Amino acid sequence: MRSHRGLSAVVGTVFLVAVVLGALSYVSYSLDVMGNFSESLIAEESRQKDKQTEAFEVSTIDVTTANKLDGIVKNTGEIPVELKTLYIDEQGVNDVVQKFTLNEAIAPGNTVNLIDLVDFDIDPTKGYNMKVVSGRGEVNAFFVNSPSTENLQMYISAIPEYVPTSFTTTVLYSVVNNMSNGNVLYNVTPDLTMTDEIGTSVGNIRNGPTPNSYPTLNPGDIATFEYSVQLSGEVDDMVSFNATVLNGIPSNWAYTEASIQEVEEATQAGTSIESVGLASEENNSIGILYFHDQTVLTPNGEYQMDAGDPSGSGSTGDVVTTTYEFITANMTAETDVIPGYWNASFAYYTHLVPKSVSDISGPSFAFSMQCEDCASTANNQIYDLTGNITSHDFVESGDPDLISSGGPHDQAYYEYDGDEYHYAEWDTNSQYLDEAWLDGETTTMIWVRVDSAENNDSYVPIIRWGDEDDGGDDEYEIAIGERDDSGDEGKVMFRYTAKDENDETECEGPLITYDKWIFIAGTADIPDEECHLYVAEIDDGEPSASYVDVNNANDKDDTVDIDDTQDIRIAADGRGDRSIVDVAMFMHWNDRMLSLSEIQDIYNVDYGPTGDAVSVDLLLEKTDDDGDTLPPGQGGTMFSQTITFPYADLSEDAEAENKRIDLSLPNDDYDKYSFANYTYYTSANQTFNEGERFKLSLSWASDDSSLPFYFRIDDSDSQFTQWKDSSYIQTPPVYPDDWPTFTSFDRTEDVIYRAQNSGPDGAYFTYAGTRLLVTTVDGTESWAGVVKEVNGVTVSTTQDSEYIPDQGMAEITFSPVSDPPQTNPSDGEIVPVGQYNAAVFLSGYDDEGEVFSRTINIGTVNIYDNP
Amino acid sequence: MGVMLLGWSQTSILEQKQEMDEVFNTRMNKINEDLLYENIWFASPAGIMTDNHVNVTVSNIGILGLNVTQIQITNVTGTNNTELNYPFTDGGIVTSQSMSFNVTYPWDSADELDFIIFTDRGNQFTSQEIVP
Repeated sequence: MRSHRGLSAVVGTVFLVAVVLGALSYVSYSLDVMGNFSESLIAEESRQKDKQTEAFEVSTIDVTTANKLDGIVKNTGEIPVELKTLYIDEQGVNDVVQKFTLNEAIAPGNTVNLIDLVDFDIDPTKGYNMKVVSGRGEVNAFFVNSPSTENLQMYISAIPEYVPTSFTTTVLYSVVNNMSNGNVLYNVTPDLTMTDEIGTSVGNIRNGPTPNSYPTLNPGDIATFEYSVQLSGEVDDMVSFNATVLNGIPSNWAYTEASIQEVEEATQAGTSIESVGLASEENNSIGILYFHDQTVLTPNGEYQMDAGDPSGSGSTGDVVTTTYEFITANMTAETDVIPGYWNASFAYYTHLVPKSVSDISGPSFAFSMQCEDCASTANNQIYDLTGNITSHDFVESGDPDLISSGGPHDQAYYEYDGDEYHYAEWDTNSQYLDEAWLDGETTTMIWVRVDSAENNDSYVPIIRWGDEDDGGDDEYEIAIGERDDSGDEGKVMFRYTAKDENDETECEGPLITYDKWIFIAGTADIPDEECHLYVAEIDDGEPSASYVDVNNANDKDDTVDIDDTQDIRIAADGRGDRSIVDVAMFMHWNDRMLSLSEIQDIYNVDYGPTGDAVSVDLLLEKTDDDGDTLPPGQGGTMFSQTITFPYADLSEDAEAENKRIDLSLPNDDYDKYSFANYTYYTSANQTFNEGERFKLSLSWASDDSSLPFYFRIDDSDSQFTQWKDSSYIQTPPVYPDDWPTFTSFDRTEDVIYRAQNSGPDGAYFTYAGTRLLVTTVDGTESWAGVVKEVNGVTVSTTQDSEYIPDQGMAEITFSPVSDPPQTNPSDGEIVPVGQYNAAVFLSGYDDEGEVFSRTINIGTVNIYDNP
Repeated sequence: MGVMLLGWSQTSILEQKQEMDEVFNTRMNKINEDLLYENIWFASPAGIMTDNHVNVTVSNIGILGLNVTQIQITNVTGTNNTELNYPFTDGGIVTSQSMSFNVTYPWDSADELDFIIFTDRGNQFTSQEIVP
């Protein structure tokens, strides 16, 4: 029998190999699956990581002039982003959400303009919720014109809260983007509503909001808008301010009020003493420091600054020539000024032209189109602001409209419709002859807007001397085109003739830009028959060169003969050519040619009601007793900045006041002045140690392109005595007492002192302990005044004061201070003229039966003798 | 016996491979599914919708197509816990595309609503909105 032992081994081996191969195949497949699994996980992890890394932002949102949605989207991440979709939901429109497919890839760091991706008409007055979605799922939601889904934090305050009539208060409205989901707000626009709570038409927004809107408000950012609101009316008239954001949630708003009040003056009848209270009351100071023109008691000849009323005949400060330093008396105790707003207010007027020009000479005459029937004259007369011309002003022909705003700097202007014009005489009967003939150097400038309806008119007269219809007299004009020359259509022209129109000097300027405010200035040397023309669009850069012409005729005539009636015209030439133009200002020098730099300085003046035509330096300092500024470590310089004020248009109030108001008015004429204030905020206490002083300096900002600035101080006459009409600084509340004073009073007059009982109990003053005491500086001699009356009711040894209720005011009258103290001292017993330390003693009892007694240190007083 | 053993082992290995494939594909597909709530907005009765309704737009941002089977909206404001389920049979969304679902829901202003979307692979995607 043959053995198969060897075959079995082979068969077994074959099976074993097959099994092993099968197992290996399974293991290999498993590993392959595991590998695929890992790769898939890695790919998914990578996708998730990309998703987290992806970032983009909507940098800006704009609305084009064609009201199309625009904006910039930026890839702020490190990997490319594909913008997939934009959703736009217009607020107030139900059931409609617009979806735009973008499909735009942006490389890292790159941007894309939305207007290139979507064509969407946006209404600037409506609110939109928008959302951009990327391909990986990044979502960027934002709001345009509106935070419609959540309340925002809002704050509003009126500073100061109480102002005299015709003064302005500053309304500050702040919005915080505190939306919970980190949304960005775009084009945040305030919406302020004023409501008369008491009175009618109390508030009038003079300026604001500033800025008009915030293009972007990121999470946590604050938008602050400022309004300047003038309050007019009676005392206690009140206006409320309700502010929100455009298209915001209706219930989301902020509220404040402001009212008209006269200041509670600390002193009366020539006496000035600190505002004080009873022992139990809190300080009720208002922090007013008037600027005085007295230098008595100041350490280095500075002017006094304290709460005393304006007194004396007053002064008008010329900041161009003098640095004005005002300083308080030294502190009688450590004094804190709490954080808050400091408001420097000035009664002021300005020159008509910048210092660089006025230093040589101002215009011979100047007109601003600010009033209709100026000074209640007839026929829409406009009058000269220099005071050189006091009659024969410009009168109207037709009825040109006075537009109250919208001029080149948003000031008023006259609108001529192609039939209307203004004219004045330049003949033997008019005052213009006092300004001499047009026979030397001249400068004429005008701010004008030519209507595009004049586009096809070959000749558009703007300002012109000389009647075209007078039979051969000369002419001098600024016009568009030339009447008898068809080659100059549309060009700005400055030209004049001499020798009966036969000798022409003509500066040919650029083509006019219609419907834009243009500044045009022409200068001439008439005897030399030379002219220069300067033209520039408002807000488009100053004129940099002139268009020149020099007539080379040998028969030069040195006079432009324009003598006839109606010889100066605005918007007409006298022979039927009348213009569709707007004119805001017009100035003329009849004695010199202004230089390019002078004309540039005038061009750069913002003559608008809220402009910055005046620049002065304001410096607030803390000084020692000697008036020397404390070192920086002790807070010596509190504030130092160039501040600006608007041009004070003298004709603004002419119609209401029924008088001519021009530069020639005396400086003590109240109507010559405008009023403006400058406010800044301190966020920390300002502490003055005993003996230190507060000093304010006002100086010229060394900017010769600024209008010269003149301000009125310390005038006790006419209307200047009221707080609203003087120059002062109002500080935040001062503790423990108000600012110290430079008290001055007549030695023979009663002294009146005011106190307020701020409660909580009512009180009586008693004769026995209520005195005004003055002591020589060395403390060796003393005099006192006894109480005579409280609120006009006699106080004596047999009668206490009337009842002073909680919050009531007590006006305490003391006799002239004397030794011995008495009601009617003789002259020999009254305190001599001099400087003394003064104090008031107050004594009495309240309606709870408690006795009070308080000594008020007034500080140094100056006692004079008014013969 | 060897042939039988060999046949059994090959069959067993093949079954294991198929099971492994299924598990792998199912898990991976579920993991790779991703959905984004692009936009949710609320509307009062308009057009054919006679009640307050909600529009939900979702986008498939994963790498596979997915099928939305149900949306559940739950009011989680205070004690008002209205929960409504909206099943869908045609909720397929291919990758990179979006789909909007417009459903009636009795919302009120300031309601806080939870949204849950279910897919046929068993994923749930949630979002929360406060009605403006």
